[in-house]
Amino acid sequence: MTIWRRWVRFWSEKESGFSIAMVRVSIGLTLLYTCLSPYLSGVWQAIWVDEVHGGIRHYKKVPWLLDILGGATPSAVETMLWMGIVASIGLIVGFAGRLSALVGMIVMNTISWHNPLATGGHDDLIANALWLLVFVQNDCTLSVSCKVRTGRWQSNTQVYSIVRRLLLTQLIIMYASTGLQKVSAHWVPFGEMDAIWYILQQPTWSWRDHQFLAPWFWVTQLGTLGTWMFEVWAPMMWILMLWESRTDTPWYAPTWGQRFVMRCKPRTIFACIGIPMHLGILFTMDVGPFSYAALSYYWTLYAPIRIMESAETQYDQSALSTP
Amino acid sequence: MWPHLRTGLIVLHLIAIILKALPAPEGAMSKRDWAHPTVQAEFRQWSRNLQSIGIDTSPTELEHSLWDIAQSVTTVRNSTLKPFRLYYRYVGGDQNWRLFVAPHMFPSKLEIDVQIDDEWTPVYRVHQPDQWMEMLIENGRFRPAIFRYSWSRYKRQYNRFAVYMSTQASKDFPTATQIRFRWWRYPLPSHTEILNDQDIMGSYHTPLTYPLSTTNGETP
Repeated sequence: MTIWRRWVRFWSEKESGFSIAMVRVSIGLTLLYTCLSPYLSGVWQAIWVDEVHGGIRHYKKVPWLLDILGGATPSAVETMLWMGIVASIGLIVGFAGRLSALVGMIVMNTISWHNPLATGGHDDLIANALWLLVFVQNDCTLSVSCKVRTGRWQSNTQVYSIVRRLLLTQLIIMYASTGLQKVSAHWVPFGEMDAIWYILQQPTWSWRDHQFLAPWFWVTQLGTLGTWMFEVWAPMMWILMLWESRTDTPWYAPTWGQRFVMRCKPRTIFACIGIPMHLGILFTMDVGPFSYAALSYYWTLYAPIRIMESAETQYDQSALSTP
Repeated sequence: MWPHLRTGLIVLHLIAIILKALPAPEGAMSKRDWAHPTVQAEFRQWSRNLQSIGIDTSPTELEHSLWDIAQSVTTVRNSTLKPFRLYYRYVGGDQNWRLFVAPHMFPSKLEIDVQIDDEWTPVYRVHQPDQWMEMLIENGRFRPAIFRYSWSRYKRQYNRFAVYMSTQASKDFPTATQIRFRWWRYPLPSHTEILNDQDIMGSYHTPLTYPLSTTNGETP
C-alpha cells in the first residue's frame, strides 16, 4: 500500500465519541469562564467598548462580527459575549454541538483580534479546539442530543478519530512551539535554570508574592528543567503515542519496539507531567483560562478502541492483513 | 474520493498550523525592545555561554548577527505564511505560542496615587488587598495590557488607559485634585538576595499626572 493510501486509511479510522464529548464539555466550560468572567466583573466595557462609549481604546476597525452587530458599542459587545455564553452552554449540555462550536469559535476569534492588548495564547487555544470540534459530531454521546435521539445519555455512535488526533497534535504543536522559543539563558538546561523562579516574581502575572519560595529555589529549578524538557520533547512523545496507538489496532502486529513503548505508557507519562504543570500554573499565576483550555485537550490522550469505517475497509481489504 | 479529499484538507491544515507555529521573532523586531535591560542581559549571558565553548563573540556582535538573522527569517516567514493568512484570521487556525520565552528581569509595578489636600495617597498597589480598580487591573483578561503598558512602545495606549482611569477616579475620589500613575522598575531579586535580605534598588519611570477636575471624559 502506498504511503498516501496508508495516510488516507489512518485519517479514515473511527472510534467511540467519548473523548471528543469530554473535550466538548471541558472546552465549553472554558468558553463559559472566558465570556462570563469579564462580563460578571464588569471589565468588558473597559476592554472591548470604544472610548466614545466609555471604554479605554479607540477602535478604527473592528472584526466582522462586531461590525455586523454595530461596532464597538456596549450593546454589540454584550451581544457577542452572550453569543459566547449560549454557545458554551450548548457545548456543555451537548445540544447543537457543531453549531455551538462554530459560534464559540467566531466569538473567540473576535475577542482575539478586537483588542490585541488584552488577549493571550489561551484565546487561540480555545478557538483552535472549537474549530476542530465543528468537524465532528461532538454531541453524539454524553449529551442532550443523545438523550433526545436515543433515549439514553450515552451512545456507542462512532466518530472519526481525525478530530481527536488533530486536537492532540494541536496540543503538541503548542508545547513544541513554546518550548523551542524558550531560548533564554534562564530556561536552557546548561544555565542557572532559574526561569520559573523569576517568572514567579513577575508582579503582572503572579497571584501573590512568591519570595517565600527562596529556601526551596531548587524546586523552581526542577520545575524549569521539567517544563523545558517536557515542551521541547513533546513531538517525540507524540511520535511514541502514535506508535503506541498502532498497537491497539486488532489487525496490527506490534514490533518489539512498540511493545516496549506500550509498556512505558507514553500517554500516562505525558499526563503525569503535563497535568501537574498546568495545575502549578493555575495556583501560582493568573494567565487567564490558559490552563483550563490546555487541560481540556488532555481528554484526547484517551484513545478509545477504534473500528475501521466499513467503507474504508472495503476500499482496501488487503491492508487488514498488513502489519 | 471523499477520504482522499479529506486527507488532503487535513494535510493543508497541518501545514498551515505547523508553519505558523515555527519559532519566529514575530512582534519582537523593534530596536527599542532589543535595547531593554532584560534583552541586553540575555545577549551578555549568551555571549558568555558561547565564549565558554570557544566561540568568540561580544554581546554587541551577537546582537547584530541575531538582528540580521531575525530580519531574514521574518522576510521568508511572511511570504510563506501569506497564502494562509485568511485561515489564521477567520477560523481557529492561528498559532501564537511565545509563552514566557524569557523571564522579564526588570519588570515594572504600576502605582497609582491621588492627591487629596496636597498629600499623595496610594490607591493602587499590586499584591495588596482591596485596591482601587483591582477588578480591572488584576483581571486575567486585562493583565496582558498592564504588562504591555510599562513598555515604551505602548506609551500611547498607556496614556489612554490613564485617561480612562482618571475619569473613573474623578467619580470615586471627588475630593482629590490630581491622579498620578508611575511604574516602579526594579531588577528581580535572585533567591540568594532574598535569603540575605538584600535591598532591592529600583526607580520610577513614565510618570503621568492628570488634574482630576478636567479629566471628565476629556483627554488632558
